[in-house]
Amino acid sequence: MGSYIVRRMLINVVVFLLITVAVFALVHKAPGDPIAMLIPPSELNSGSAQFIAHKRHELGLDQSLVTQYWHWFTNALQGNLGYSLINGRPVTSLLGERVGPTLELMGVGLVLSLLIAFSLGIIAALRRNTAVDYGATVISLGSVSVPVFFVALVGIYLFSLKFQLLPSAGISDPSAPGLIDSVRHLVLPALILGFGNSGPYMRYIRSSMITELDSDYARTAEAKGASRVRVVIRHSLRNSLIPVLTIIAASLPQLLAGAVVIEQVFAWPGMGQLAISSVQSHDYSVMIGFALVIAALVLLSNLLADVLYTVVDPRVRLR
Amino acid sequence: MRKFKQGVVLGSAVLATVLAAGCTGPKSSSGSNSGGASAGRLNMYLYQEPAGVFSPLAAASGPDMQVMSFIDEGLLGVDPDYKMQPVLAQSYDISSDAKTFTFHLRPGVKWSDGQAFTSQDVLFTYDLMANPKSTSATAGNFTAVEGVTDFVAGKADSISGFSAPDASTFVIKTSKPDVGLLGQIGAVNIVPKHVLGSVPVEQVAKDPYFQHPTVTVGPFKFVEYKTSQYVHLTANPDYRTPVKIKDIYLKPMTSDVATAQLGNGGLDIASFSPTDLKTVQGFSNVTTQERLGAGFIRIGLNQTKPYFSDVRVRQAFLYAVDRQKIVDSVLFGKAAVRNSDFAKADTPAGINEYAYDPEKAKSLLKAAGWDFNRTVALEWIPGQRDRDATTTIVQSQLGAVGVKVKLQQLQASDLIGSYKKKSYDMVLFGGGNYAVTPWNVNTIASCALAYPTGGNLTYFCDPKLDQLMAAANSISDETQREAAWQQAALEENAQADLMWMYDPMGLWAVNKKVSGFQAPGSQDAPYWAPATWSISG
Repeated sequence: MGSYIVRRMLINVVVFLLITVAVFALVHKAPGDPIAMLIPPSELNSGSAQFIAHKRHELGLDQSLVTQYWHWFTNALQGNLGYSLINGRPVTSLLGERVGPTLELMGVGLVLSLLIAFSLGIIAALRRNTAVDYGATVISLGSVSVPVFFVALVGIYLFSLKFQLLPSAGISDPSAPGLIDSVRHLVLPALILGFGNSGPYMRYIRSSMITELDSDYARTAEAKGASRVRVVIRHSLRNSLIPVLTIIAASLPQLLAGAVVIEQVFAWPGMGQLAISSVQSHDYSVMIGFALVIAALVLLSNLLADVLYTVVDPRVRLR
Repeated sequence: MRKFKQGVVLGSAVLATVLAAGCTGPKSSSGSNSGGASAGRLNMYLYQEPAGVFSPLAAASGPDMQVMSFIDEGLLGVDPDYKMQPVLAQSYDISSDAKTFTFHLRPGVKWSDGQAFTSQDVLFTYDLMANPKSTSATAGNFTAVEGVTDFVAGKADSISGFSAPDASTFVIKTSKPDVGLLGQIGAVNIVPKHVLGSVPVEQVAKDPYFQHPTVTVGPFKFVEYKTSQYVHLTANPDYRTPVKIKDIYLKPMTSDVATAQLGNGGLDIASFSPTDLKTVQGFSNVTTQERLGAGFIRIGLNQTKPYFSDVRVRQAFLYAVDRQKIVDSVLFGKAAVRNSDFAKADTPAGINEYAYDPEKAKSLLKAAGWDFNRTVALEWIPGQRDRDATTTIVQSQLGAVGVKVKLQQLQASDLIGSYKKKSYDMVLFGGGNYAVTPWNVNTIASCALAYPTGGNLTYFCDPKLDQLMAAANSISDETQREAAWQQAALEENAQADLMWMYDPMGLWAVNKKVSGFQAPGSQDAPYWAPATWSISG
């Protein structure tokens, strides 16, 4: 398996390099000129043209795209992803300070989505074709079909405005920081992110559990006197994890996409919020930096999904 | 198996703790304000994330300027009624030829590190602002100052028009009479020479000082900008008057969340949109304030197109649209119909209001020989509810007088392209500030400042208006000058250089615990006199 991972990593490096070229070209060729947009057209005056030309030269935007890419690439190899066009700060430090909050939101969101999905999935499988099963189906359908920003706004309306239980924005209260405060800020966004992602997991867990519960080995175990709980947890759940684990790993990028929306709604200072503000201001270097983080995440989560598959199911051999 | 069970139990316990922790309710955001010392904490809304460069050299960015309005000050400032008021200057004189402006600085002012504030700081700041090498985004505003052109061209070592004859006097000289210049450069925030004076001019704009401006002269001191979360400011104990609030947190978030936070006390002051008016008025803990903005929403008619160069066509377009109805239905009355580039204070009583009159529009169009088979495109950047609705109404009402209009949504960058090519017919946009000084109208209406040299995007040209504007701008006596501006406004109103639509109001919700706050005219405008605001427990 070691050689498989090394081979896959090498392929991923090549794919990643191609992605950098594509992202760089797309971002720079997208309509919009970040420098011209610094001054609204109706407020131009006789000195503006000079300012714009000066700024463009300073940022190297007056050079050819190939030259710009090469400059960016050689810097990137040394760990420098460039500087924000808007505030001049290094992209790596801008991304660096946002990774933590995003991982926190994604991590807790993932745990909550698994808690929701496993509880509902197992119950639905055990109580197949009953009101409980239909109820769980409705919930999972709801989580897939209702947009996450809408759920977020409803959540804010209910928990922040109506009942005033939880804060509606930010990661902490600057005047009273602490664990409890952080947890209170995290609950709503993480729960909504988790709910939004739990639907597909739940459906997979339910169908996978049904297959395993109906299998011969489960019936045999029950016939030999194993308790229902033991059959469900020890035998069926363990085997049903095989397809579910790979799906979870492969859906990490989707979780990040959900986090981008949640971060915007809840003023959560993560990478998603940075990405949106950089797109709005055409901040090329930050947009590219963010796109590369996403690309790396997708490549790694695909690799993780493959590797996990062999770990949970030794019958699968990778070549 | 046991481990798995333990995991489930642990997970549930965490969830339960998290939910239980959530039931403690939000904290009160303020303290009490007794005695003369600063007290309490104020939470304010930022409509956008700041760029984090709190610099007068940087291109204008609303949220950053709002932060600067707490920590920085200029010689003059603009009050909520758009009047220039002395701030770091105690007073100023304008010479009778309107070419020399003398500022007498307020005595005893200190920087927040204890150093004395002098005219050298002012001279240093103005030299930087006028020098394109410093990447000053507004260097173009300073070209009217005597000697700037020679300095920029490398023919002079310094700018002769700026001088500091003594520690408490600063003088600006212009090459021709230009009273309006005060409105353009009088409120520049002053930066400390003793901190930045040794930095090469090309490097100043990038100096870390501007990301962490700890030495300032305003009522509040900068503490930190926690990226994307908040900007923390604290009272400057050495400010010339007592600062009533101790800590201010400015927090960027979406407007929906801000509205919710107003209701639950998470924010004490926030701007809101007319669509949220009813919701905000339903909150028992806030009062609302409103003020007309300094700019306006307009439709530009491209006058390089022969069919828009006829003034009767431009007037007909104005008569054809019921702008009052747009204000009432789209903006819930929270805007004023505009009839001039000039602010209401600078327009005389008798101007033509172009009240809705489709019959008059039809006859003007006929007289001008309008081709009723022609279709004109109306371009705009979509996404703002009032503008989106306005375009549809304009399309239908112009249609009713026989003008076929095609709506065309564009991205900001495409719009710049269509300005460059002069290809557009009609374009809807907003912004600007024409209230502080009427001279700013020159930027959008003068023949010499047609795009891309200036901001005259419609290529309107009326030499008579240019003449009237220049004459008004050279009068030092305020009363006479005001009369001259009104003459210019009459001419501009008759020529209908733009299809003026409306001047939106800035709407603000303020927690009842806060007093002294005076709403600015828009969500992105700087604040006025924050030292006088207070918050009770």
